Amino acid sequence: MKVGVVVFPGSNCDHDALEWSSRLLGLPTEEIWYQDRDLRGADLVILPGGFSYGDYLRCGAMAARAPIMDEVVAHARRGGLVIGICNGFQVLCEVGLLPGALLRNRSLTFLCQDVYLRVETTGSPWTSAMRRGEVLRVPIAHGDGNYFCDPETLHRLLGEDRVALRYVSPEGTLDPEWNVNGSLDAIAGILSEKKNVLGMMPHPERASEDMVGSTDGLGIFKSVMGALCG
Amino acid sequence: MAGVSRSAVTLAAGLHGVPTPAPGGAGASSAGEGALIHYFLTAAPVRRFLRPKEIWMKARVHVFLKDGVLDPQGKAVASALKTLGFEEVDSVRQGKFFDIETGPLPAREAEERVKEYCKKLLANPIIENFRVEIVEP
Repeated sequence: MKVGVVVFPGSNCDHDALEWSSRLLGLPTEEIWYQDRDLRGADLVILPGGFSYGDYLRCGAMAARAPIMDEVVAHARRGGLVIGICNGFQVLCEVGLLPGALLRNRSLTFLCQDVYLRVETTGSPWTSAMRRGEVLRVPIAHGDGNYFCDPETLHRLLGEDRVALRYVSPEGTLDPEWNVNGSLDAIAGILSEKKNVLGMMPHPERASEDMVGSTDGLGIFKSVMGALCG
Repeated sequence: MAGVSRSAVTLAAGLHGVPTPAPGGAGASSAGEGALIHYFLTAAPVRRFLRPKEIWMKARVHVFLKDGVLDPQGKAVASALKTLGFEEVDSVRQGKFFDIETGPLPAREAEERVKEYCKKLLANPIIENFRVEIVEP
């Protein structure tokens, strides 16, 4: 299994993603330049966190129109695996691979802290190795992570079991106080219709080593490795 | 040159071999010449004749959040206005606008083209609406 990390101008978690996949999981991983039109044989594409194009216009809007995104969209439409983390999630929404949009945090402030996430479904390659209801401690670092979609879209997401992760209290209960950015229905991560695309605001790649205080983020990648290799 | 588009001026200069007067003016005769050209170009029948198939356009695009989409920035601005003593302020919705100038465009398609800019990039249809205003010609 080959992994590709797309590098946009302004990506700043591309190396975190590289480390995550190459050193921690031992997968052959390559960087993919945003102006290329070739995924270099990647089976799994990571759109990393950061501030692509300085968040000009809207977060992720410019990156979503970069040349490489045609390839990413084609890969996803073929059923290929794609994960967008933080800014990557914003890019996935802007390019239309995931529904909805990410608005300014309710608090209007940039939030850089640990949050608690509840695994809401195991019916996807991204979450299959975890338990439903399992609580993960994973950091966030964003100013625009307030998930929004119209009521019909939310209804569809719920009906199709496409909400992957929700912000919860450390005990795993829904609590507006722990939904720190004010996301609709406390949504932290969603899946595409075919469940091959995952977008999430929190950073699992920053919670995958004891050294940094949490290894809860590994579950996502272990799931996907199981789905691809197992 | 009010009312005359750049294309018309270029076209007229090209047709009649009349150089556009240099800024600052080189003397009374050239200023008089400029006034003459202006008079000629602004005459209604000439303008009709010169009306270009192609236009250079100036547009202003307004992009604003849809009703029902939370606007925390607008809310913060509203509360700041109240703090300043403007207690009559009920709500503020924050938006943005883009001033766009184009090269030559087929006149009939101009507005549609700007709408395409909005749909493809300037606005996110999930959360935003837009309004196109053609400023010139």
